[in-house]
Amino acid sequence: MNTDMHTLLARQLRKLGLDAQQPPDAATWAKLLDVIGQHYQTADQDRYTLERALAISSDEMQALYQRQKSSYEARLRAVFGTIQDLIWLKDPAGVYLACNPMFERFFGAGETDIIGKTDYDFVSKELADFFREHDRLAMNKGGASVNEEWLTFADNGYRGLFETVKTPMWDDAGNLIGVLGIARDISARKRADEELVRYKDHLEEEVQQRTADLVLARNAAETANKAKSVFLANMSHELRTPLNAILGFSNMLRKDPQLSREQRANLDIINRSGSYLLTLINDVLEVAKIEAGRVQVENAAMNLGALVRDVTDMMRIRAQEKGLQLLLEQSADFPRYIKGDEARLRQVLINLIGNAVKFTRQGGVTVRIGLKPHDVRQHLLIEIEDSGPGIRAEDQQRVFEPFVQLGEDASQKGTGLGLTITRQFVQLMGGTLGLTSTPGTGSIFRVELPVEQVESTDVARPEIAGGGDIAGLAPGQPEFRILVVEDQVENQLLLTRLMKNIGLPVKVAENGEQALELFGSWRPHLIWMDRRMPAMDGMEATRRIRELPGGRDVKIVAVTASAFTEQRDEMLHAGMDDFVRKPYRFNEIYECLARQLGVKYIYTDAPAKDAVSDAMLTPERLAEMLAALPEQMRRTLHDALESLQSERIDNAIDQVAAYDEELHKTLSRLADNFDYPAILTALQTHQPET
Amino acid sequence: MKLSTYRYLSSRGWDQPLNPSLDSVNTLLICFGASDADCIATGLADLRGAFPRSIWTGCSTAGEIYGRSLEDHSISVAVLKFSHTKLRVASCEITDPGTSLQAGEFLANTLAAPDLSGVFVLSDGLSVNGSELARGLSQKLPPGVRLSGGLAADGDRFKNTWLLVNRTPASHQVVAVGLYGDHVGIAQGSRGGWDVLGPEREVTRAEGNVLYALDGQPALALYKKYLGERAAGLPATGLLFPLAIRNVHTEDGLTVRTILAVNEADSSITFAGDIPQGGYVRLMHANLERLIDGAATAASQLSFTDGATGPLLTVAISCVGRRLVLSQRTEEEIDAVVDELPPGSQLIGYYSYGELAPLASGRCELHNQTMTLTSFWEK
Repeated sequence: MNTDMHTLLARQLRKLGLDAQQPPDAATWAKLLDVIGQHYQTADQDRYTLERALAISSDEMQALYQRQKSSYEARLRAVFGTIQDLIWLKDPAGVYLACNPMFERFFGAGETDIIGKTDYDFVSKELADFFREHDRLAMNKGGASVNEEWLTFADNGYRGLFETVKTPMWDDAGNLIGVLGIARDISARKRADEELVRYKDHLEEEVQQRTADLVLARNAAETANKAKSVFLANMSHELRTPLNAILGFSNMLRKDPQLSREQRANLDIINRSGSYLLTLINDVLEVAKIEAGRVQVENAAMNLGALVRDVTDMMRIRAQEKGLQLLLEQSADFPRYIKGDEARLRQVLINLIGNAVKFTRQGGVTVRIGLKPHDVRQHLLIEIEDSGPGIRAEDQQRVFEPFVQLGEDASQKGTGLGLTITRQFVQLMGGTLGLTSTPGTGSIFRVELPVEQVESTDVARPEIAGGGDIAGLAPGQPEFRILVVEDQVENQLLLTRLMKNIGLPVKVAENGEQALELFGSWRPHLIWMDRRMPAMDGMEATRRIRELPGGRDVKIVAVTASAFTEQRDEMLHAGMDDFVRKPYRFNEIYECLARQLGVKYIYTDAPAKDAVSDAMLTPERLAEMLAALPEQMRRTLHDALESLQSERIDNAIDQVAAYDEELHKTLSRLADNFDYPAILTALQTHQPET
Repeated sequence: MKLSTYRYLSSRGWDQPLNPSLDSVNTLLICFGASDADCIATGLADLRGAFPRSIWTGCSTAGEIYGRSLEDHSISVAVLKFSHTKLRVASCEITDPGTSLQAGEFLANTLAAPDLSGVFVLSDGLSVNGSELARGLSQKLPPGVRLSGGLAADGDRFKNTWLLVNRTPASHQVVAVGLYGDHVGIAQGSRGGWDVLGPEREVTRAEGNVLYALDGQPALALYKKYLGERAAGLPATGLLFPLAIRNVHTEDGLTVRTILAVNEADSSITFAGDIPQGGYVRLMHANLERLIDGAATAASQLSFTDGATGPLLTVAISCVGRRLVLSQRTEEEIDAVVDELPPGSQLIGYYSYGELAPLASGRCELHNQTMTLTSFWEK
C-alpha cells in the first residue's frame, strides 16, 4: 500500500476490504467509485460553501471597512471643518499633504488644488521662504516650534496676527511624515490686551487727574481754613487791642485813691468782664492757632509736682464750694521734675479738673497721677475721675469737638472750646486724651503723655517778681528817653502814662515816619514800637532806624496784639530787641524796661526787707494770719468768696484793713487777681472750732 | 471495576456475547443507539435480559462511536461494574425548554450528597435549553462535582430524540447518573477547533436560545445568504456555520452554538443554547484539519494521573455539525482521539446535538461543535 496514499482513500479502500495491490471485483469497484464520487460531491459542496462564505465575508468586511472609514473620515472632516484654526500637513519637502477649510481660505484654493503643491505656489517667495524656514526649524528641533506671524487671507483679504505651532510628525516606524501646522488667530486677543493696557494707562491718568483735583480741593480747603484761622487771629487781634485799653485804664483808675467805693466796684466789674472777655477771645484764638498749625510746644524743665499742687489747690476751693471732695492721688513713681510745656500742661489740668468740678453735683473728683505701667517709653498718666452725670456713649467723641456743650443746664457758661483745646494741647505734646464714662455714674478723662524726667536742679526757679507797685525810678540812674510809636490814641495814652508814672520822659510818634524823625532829633533810649500801623509799619520803621547813625544802639521793643508766636522771630529778625504782647500787664512793661535798659525801680508800698510780701506769703503764713481774724470776719470773708460776688468780697476784705493792714493788702492783691481760691484755701487750713 | 463494551448492528447483531455476570446494582450501563428505535429494539431487549439490575443511561444519536469506528443504525454499549462506587440515577420529563433550569436544579437536588463525585447527564436534544439545564445543574451541585454529558440527537433530521428511562426509550426526558465515593476516577476534555469567519456582529434581538436579529438584520437571512443553494438543507446545513459567542470572561474564550431549528415565519433560528441579547457573535467555519486536531487536543486534556491503572472507559460526545463537515473523514477525528488514549482503554460515544463540559473557569456550560470526552475508572 502506497504510504503516501491520502488517509481518506486508504480508509475508503479499507472499509471496502480492498488492497491497493489487488484490483477489486466489479461490485466492489462500483462501490469504490460510489464512495469516491460521494466524496467529490461533498468536496465540491464544501468548496462551494467555503468560496461563497469567503466572498460574502469579504464583501461584508469591505462594506464594514468602508462604513467605518467613511464615518471616521466624516468625523475627522467635521472636526477639521469646525476648528477655527488653520490646520495643514506638509511632507518633509514642503509639499502639502492635507489642510482644512480654514486653511483653504488662507490660500484661496480648495484642498485638492493645494495638495501636491508647495507654499511657493501660493504666496510670495519671501513669505514662502519664511514658512519653510519655520518648517525646518520644527523638523530640526524634533518638537513643536511656535511663532507669531501676520497672515493675509487670499479669499477676502483679511489680515490678522496668528500664533503658529509647527510640529514634526512621525509614523509608527519612526519615519518623518512631515510637519503639522496649526495657526490660531490671536488678533482679537492682542487687541484686547492692548485695549487693556490702554485702559490701564487711561485709568492711571484718571487717577492722577483725580488726585490732582483732590489736591487742589484739599489745598483750597486748607487755604480756606487757614484764611478762617487768620481771620480769627486778626479778629481777636482787633478785639484784644481795644480790650487792652479797657483793662489797662480800668486798672489804672483803680489805683486812684480818690475813687469812691462804688466807683471802685464798678471798675472791678469792668475789669472782671474784660478779663472774662479776654479769656474767651484767648480760647477762640488758641483754637484758631492750633487749627492754623501755629502752635509750638515748649519743652523746658519744670516742676510737675508744684504745678499739680497749684492747680489742685486752686480747684479744691471750687470743689469745696460745691460740697465736693477733690482728692489727689500721686503714685510713688510719679515724676516730679520733667521736661514739658508748663503753661499748656497747666491749662490742660485746669480745664479737665475745672470741668469735672463744674459738672459734678455730688460726690467728688479724684486726680490720679503716675507713670503708665509696663511701658517701654515712659508715659505720664493723669486720670481725672468724677462722680458727675457721665457722658452717653454717642456723645463721648462729640465732647472733643469745638463749640459742643452737653447737658440742658444753660447756666454752664463757656465757649465750648475747653475740651477741644485740651485735647489738641495733649496731642501737640505727643500724648492722648481718652474718655470712659458711664451715664449716671461718672466719667474718667485719661491723659497719657510721653515724659522725660529731669533733675530738680534743672528746673529754673521762677524770678520772684518785685513786690508792691512800682512808685518810680530808683535814684542815681541815667535819664532814659522813651519813644512810643503807636497809631491808636488809647494805647498811646496808656503807654505814655505808664512811662510818666515812673518819671521817664516820653514822646509819641503816630506812625513810622514820625518815629524816624523823632529818633533823629530826640535820640530815645528805648522805643515801644507798635507792629501794625498805617503808612509804615513797625517792622519797616525798625529796619530804617537800624540803618540810621546810632540806630544800632537804641532798644526797640515790639508791642503787638499778634497771636502768632512765629512772628516773634520775624520781629527779632527785623532788628527788634524784645516784644510785649497786648494786652499786657503793667509789670510786663516795667520788667521789659528793666531787662532792656537795666532800669531799677522803687516801690510805693514796698514792704520792709523783713516784711512779708504777698507774693512771698506762703499759704501757711496766709492761713496763720487769717486764723488770727475774728470769727465773724472770717465767716463774712468766706461767704463773700463763696458767693463770687466781687462787691461782697471787696467789702469783706476792706473790713480786714482795720484789723490787719498787711493782710488787707495781700487779700486785695489776691482778689484783684481773682485768686479767691488761695484765700479760701488759707481760710480753711485753720478752720476754727464752731 | 470491570468493563465490557459491545456493539449491536441491526444487520449483524452483537459483536460478542453479552456478559450477564457484570450485572449488579453497582453496574452502570451506558448505551447510545440509532434514533430509529425500532431498528434496534431487539438489541435493547437483549440488554434488558442481560443487565436487569444495572443502572442504565443512554440516548439516541446522529452516529454511534465504537472504538475507532462510526456506525448508524447500531447500539454502542459500555457496561461498568464498580467495586466501590455507588450509583444513583434520576430523571425528569422536559417538554418546554423554558423549564430547563428547573429540570437541572431538580436533578442536582435529587443526586446531591456529600460523597457525590461526578454526574453524567444525557438530555433530550430538541425540547431543552442546554444552557439553562447546565446552569441549573451547576448551581445546585456541590462544588467539585465533575459534571459532563450531552444532548441526544436525531441524525440530521432534528425531529425526535429519545432517552432511556426505565431501560426504555422515551422522548422529552433528562437522565442524570450520580457516581458516589472516592474510588471513582473521572477525567474531562473538550475542544472545538473551528475558525471564526467574517466580522463580529451584535445580537440585536434574541430570546433565550432563539435568535432573531444580528446587527438589526434577520438572522435567518444571513444564514441563507451564506448557505446559498445549500440553504435548502436547513436546519442541518446551518451546522456549517456555528455561532461563536464572545464570553464575558475572556479566559472562557468562545462558546459555540449550533442550529437546532429554523422558523421561516419570523425568520428566527433556534440554537442548542442561549444567545445573549446585546452580546457579540461571529460566524464560524470548519477547517477539517483543525477539527481533527481539536479532537486530539480534547483527548490530550484528559488527566489520568489519579490511579487510572485498570480498566478505563472514555465516552466521546462529538457534535453532529462536525460529522456533517467531516463527512467521510469523520472517523479521522475518532482515530485522533483513540491515538491519544492510554493503550487498552476503551471508547464508545456518539454524535450529539450538544455537549456539556466545564469551561476553563470551571463553570459547566453547554457546548456545540466540540469533541467532548469523559473518562471513567475506579481506583
